[in-house]
Amino acid sequence: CLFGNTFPRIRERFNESQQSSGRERRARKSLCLNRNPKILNPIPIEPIVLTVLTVIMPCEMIMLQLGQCGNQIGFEFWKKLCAEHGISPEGILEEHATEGTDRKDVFFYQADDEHYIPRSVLLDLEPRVINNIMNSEYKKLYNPENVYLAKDGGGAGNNWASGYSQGQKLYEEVFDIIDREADGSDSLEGFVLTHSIAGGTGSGMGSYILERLADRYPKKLVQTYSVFPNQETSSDALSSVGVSDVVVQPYNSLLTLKRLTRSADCVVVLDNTALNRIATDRLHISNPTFSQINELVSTIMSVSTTTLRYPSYMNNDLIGLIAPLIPTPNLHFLMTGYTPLTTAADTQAAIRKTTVLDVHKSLQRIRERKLAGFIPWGPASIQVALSRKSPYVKTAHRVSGLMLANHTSISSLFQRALRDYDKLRKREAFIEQFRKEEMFADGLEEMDDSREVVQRLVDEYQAATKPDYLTWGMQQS
Amino acid sequence: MVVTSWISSKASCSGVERITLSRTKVLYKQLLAWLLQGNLFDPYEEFFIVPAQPGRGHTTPGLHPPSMTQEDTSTFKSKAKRYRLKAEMVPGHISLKLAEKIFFIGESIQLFETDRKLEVQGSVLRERETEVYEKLAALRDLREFRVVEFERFVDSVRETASRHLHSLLLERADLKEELWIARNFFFLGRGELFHTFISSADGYLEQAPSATTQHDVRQTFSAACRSILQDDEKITKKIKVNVVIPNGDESKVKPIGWKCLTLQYSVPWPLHLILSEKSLEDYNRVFQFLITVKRTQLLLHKMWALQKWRKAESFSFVSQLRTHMMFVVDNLQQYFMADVLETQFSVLLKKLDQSTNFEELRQAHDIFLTAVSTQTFIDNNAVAQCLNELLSVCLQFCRAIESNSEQSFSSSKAVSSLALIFSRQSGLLFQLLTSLRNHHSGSHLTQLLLRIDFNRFFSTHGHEVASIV
Repeated sequence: CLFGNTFPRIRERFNESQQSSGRERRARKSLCLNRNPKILNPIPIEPIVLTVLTVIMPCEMIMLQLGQCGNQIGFEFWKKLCAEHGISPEGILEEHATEGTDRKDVFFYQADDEHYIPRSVLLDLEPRVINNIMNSEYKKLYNPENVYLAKDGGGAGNNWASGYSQGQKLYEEVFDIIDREADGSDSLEGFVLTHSIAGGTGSGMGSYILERLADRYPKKLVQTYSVFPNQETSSDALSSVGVSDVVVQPYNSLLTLKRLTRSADCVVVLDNTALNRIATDRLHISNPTFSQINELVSTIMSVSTTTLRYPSYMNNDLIGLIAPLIPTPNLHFLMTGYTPLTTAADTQAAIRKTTVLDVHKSLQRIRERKLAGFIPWGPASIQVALSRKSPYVKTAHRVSGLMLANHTSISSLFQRALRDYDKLRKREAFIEQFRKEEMFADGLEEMDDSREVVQRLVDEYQAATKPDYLTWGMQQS
Repeated sequence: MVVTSWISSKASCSGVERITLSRTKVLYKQLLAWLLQGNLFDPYEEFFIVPAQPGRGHTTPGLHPPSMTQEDTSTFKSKAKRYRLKAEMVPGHISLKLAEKIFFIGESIQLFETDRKLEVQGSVLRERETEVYEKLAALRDLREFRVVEFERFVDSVRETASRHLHSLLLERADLKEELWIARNFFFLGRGELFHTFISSADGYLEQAPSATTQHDVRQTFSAACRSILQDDEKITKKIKVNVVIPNGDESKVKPIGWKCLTLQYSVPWPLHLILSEKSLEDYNRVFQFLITVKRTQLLLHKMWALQKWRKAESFSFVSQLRTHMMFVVDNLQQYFMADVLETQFSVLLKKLDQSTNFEELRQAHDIFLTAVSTQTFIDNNAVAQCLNELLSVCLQFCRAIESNSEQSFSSSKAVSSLALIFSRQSGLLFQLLTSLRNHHSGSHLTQLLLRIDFNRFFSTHGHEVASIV
């Protein structure tokens, strides 16, 4: 280390600070990047006095990108965030980015004055997507120590069980990275997981990681952005994107849903079916590409974190955003809506200029005409939060809106998953590949258990539409 | 020399005329000195503007508040002596309103003269000086005192002074920037800063203040500023947190640290004309209230997370009560921060942009503060008390959850009584707000009432919270 060999007394003082903050610990590490102990012309350095900050800086988030889909949408997300905060693809603050009041520290950590690094861990069992990222212009953005590619490189073969067992095998290495990242934060609020539930890595390994996160970090929030598979078959789909050619997708989905129910605090459902339909019907893209769909997804993800990343008078942390949406812990699956729906190329979609009064009138209309049904067993409402936009990103629209809703109709997705699962399970179709893995070697109880969890979830969503939901719930427990 | 105007005898008219004329000449000399230079030329103490004795109250709200000391602002090097309007000395043919206008002009001149950098300002007025002097001389040389023309003249000079004051405040002193800072701190505009501050300070501020509390709180505040704000040094020089134990009877229980928090805010000259000491008091009252709402909200959110960590029963009575409380407090917070503060502040900014003179500036700001005070119910005793009790019961509930394990707590008498108080207060609040909206100009409440009762749960079942078990 630059300090270590030449100035032992300074290093002593450096190490003495017991209550060093995460930033200082990280600074210490970045100073040690030069591992060459031979310093020919030592520059005299003044001893640094480290001040001890006993301040809780809330709301740092660590993103875990898992599998092919998780890494793709994570990639788009970081692209967007860099643009919004004026950070170059190499992670350096751009010259024009002088506004200064935006809160980069929620999602980025600052390695030194101008250098910002995403708090992101990239995990995959096969190299294709991560290699694409590492060959793109954003290759220098991520912390290379946070990118984990399984040495095997064979992927999980769209098999949840394979993903899960590889997760078990790679547990220590993966959590070394996660723990290090968590340790380097001053005050971690929680984790954001991006993945799809239908494949092998994002679903299987994702499930394992969710369980371990709940064990190791019980007091941290775990939010997921989970891509649900396109339910259409190739014959009736209007586009070919995301159409399931993963035959075992129902098994994978169900097994993952159990973990999403039990071990996650909030799941933002990204429904590929709906996204595809939006792309084809609303945006008139005849064959939407993955990147166009992902563009929509990353928009939703970035807008849902806007109040965390800009100075705001309310909704300053993730809890504040989701707690009002989740009155009972199990029903934590949120759906999203966004307007205007355009892709980068399309600037035609027009939305009316809105004022606060317009919003109020719309709320009244919704209530009077009963356009949305609200729960009968407790107070419920629509909250409107206004937030700032990035000064560095030109948008065609002055105003945009994101909706996050906890709606009981989400259970239709789960019911469909149950139906599809039952169809396959009855005939024990494609079950062999699961039996090959340790978890199912002795039997399929895990699948049965997962089905039960999801069925109970569906029942609970059903019960929540009735006035006696609370007594129902108390009877269940 | 006071001449009354009811001299009846016609014979003495010309004599009276001569006395009147010479008296008027003296008046004009005094006016000249005052209107052009802001100085008093009054060796015989005949003028109605006199130097203010320190410690005596002002009869009119002047531009130089008595409490302005040298330490308050570093740029304020005033050679202005304090003056006041002596209402009894105002001659009969000059209305009090006119006299106040005259007073205002002289004070403004002093203000301009004080600003060393204000060469430009001064010279512009000096250009008009000749004009003013000539007009004044013309009026003085008339045989009789023409009230209407005199008034008109005073008005025009006053308007010039007012316009210069306007540009001094708005452009040179950047009044808007100052108001943004005031809003970001007193009205918690920088929510993330106060989020950090409240989380860090709650531990010791929820107890009665001790000897070290003020020091601790200042440390915490500056540390929070340092980690959140870019230009934190400028802010920490300007804003200090004070722990002031409010006056009350000795027998009462000592209030907790949170209730003793005030912000000490130094206003740079000449913005004290708008952000006066009295207005800062009002700002502080709103600040006190908003901090209470925010920390209640944060604590309730923390309880939501705590429930998850403890894997508590999702349908327990405690959970449901917490959900209700969080719903009410979240909606109140949204109302205060968005419906009231955000709206009123943008109205204020718009008015400032449209204003052309000093009076309009001051009025816009006064209206802003009044609206904020009214709509946050600071001045409405019934609602304020209801709100404070509501927030207090929520805080008690949260502290109780924190220190008890859920199983025993759920069935305890304590939680039932808290639930009862909560449902009573929230029902009362709903009633009060509804009647306010219906009977007074309470349109701002419409949005809050719509949202809080959106699924009509509140109005039909609100009182049933206590009977959920």
